[in-house]
Amino acid sequence: MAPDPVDVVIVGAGGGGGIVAQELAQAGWRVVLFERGKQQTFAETGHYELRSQRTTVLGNAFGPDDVRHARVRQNERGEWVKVLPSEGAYNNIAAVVGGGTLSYGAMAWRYLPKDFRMRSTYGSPAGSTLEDWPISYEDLAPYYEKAEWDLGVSGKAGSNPFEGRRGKDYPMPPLPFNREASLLAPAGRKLGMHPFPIPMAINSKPYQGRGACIQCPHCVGFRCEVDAKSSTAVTVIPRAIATGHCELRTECIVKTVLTDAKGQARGVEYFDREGKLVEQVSKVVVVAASATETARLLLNSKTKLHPNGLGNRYDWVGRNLQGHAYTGAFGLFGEEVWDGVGPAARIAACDFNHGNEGIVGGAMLANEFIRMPYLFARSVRPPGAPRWGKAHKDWQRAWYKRSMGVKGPVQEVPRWENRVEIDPLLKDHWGIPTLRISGRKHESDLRTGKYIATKAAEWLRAAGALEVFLTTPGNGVSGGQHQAGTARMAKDSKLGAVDPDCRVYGVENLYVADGSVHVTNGGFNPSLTIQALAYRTSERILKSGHVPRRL
Amino acid sequence: MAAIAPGLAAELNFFSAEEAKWIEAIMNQIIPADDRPGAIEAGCLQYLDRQLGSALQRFAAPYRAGIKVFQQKEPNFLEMSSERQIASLQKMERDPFFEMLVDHTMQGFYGSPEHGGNRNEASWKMMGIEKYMGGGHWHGA
Repeated sequence: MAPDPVDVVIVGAGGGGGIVAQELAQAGWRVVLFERGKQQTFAETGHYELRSQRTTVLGNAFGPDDVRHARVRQNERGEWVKVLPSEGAYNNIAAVVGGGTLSYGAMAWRYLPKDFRMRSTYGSPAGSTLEDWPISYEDLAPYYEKAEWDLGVSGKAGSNPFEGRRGKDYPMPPLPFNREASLLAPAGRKLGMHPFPIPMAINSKPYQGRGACIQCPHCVGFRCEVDAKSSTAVTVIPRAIATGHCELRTECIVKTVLTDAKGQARGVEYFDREGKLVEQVSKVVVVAASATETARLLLNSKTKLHPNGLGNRYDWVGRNLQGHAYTGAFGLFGEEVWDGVGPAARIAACDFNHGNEGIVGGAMLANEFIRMPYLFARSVRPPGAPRWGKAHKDWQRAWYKRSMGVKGPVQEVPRWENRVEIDPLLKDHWGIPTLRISGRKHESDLRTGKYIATKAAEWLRAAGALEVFLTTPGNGVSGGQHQAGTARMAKDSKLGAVDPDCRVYGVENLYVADGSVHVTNGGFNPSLTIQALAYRTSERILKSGHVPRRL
Repeated sequence: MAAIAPGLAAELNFFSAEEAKWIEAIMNQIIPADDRPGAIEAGCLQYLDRQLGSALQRFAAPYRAGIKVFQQKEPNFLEMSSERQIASLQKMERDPFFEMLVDHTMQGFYGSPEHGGNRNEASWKMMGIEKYMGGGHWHGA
């Protein structure tokens, strides 16, 4: 027997979906919030480096599992090869209640005003889909503020001279500096930079019934054991459920968005925990499954009226895939710079996000979260250094506490050819066609990556590094945990998949609330922007008239 | 050269006693012992042996095949001096089998003891971070 119709179905209980669930449920709507993963406690995942969100050699601690969720990707030789969720090239987003926000490092950035006007600022490089957003920073600012206060972000207004205009301060002061940040701060100022404390979605004092950060060394990649990390799993989602009319259904796999004879959304078809195919009817559908999975769902929801999938009349769904090209440097010091105090990523500078001579865009630079031992062993070595043997072991001992990294997420120049699409052959465990991923970086990103890495190196030298080594991006297509762009916003329906209210073109009651809608992806971690948009889109949905006023 | 610890053969789930000797001999050069434990004492073989039956099972066939190929390429490896072993491994550094074993040895050495390796937190003690690591609650350093 099919469940009762509801007002809205939300697909994905992650960074965006959780917010929409709260906003609509608090307005009196009857909500069903689907999540393919489970609720997970700290005890289930703990602090195991090899099975965390950052290092997945023993599987994805927060899902999805390798057995049921394979994809396909195109390798350097142009061959299509199967790729498992625990492999880097899969472009995974956690499958768990809270999504990526359960285990992320929780940097909470507002994009800069210019990040919404990349084409007006830089023109459109050849071979790219670089474009302005159809909304401005000023349009989004009130929702950034709402996200900061509703979720819990700690930071210091005015400390970043480059940030856009703000109304209120942050609800909590910044977390304290660690030794690394204390060295980098005066060094940056000496170079004429403007370093400031990174705003984090992490409590620096008790907030909304959750405790403050205990500064453990296990932050990025791990669930917070005291829930000081302001994940949607411990903020908006419980509040949505507490209204009494938001039902969270976990371990459910949405197969298609169902549409009616007029091509409008009427609900979803999904596999429940027992593997039974069920219809959930609703007046509105919001897809918030991550840039890769949202594109997949829209493309898999073909009908006669939508022969290429939903929102895909002009072939934008799945294209324009971007993440961030990480770049930077690490430095070796004559003394210990490591103090084991988490979250460790504490200081940043926006001096190189824009205004870099001959460079499109740029990146924020920040020091790193505490590096775990295996990751350090495999990825932090000077070029040409031994990768095994006694010298490799000696290097680990000598330099683990005497090295420091400065890294930044290069804002990518997006490409039409960088995409996810439906694989013609491979299906998942439930028989749903899965994705194949292809593309490569725009050469602008490689140039920007080298430039930003030299800036990182200079900063480390000014802080006292005896030697520095650059770590610049490779050629492969981006996505990863900052994935975005695959259902981009546009004013003109021919130039995107969703309108400036994040409503899917051609389907009046279907919306997207994740990074898919980003036109470009800023030179910053994208979560707070995804979340601000989710608050804004929720407001638009409530004003839309799809559902009569309930409260 | 290094022989597997007494009584260990009975505990192996994936490797035969013979295969284990070869794997350990190579691991012994990937992370040798010095004033601190190396891969063997830290139980990297145990890590790999256990995980090949679960999270790393897709590497099972490559290990079976890879060990055979290695034995054919260097049939006297177990009797060689340490220097000759190192020289031999340096020649096959790009070999997918060797690269795979380097990665898994590093996992076993630097990962949590809960996964089967890093016995007595040997690598964390070597790095001076044992108070900061561990899989469970944070008690402060």
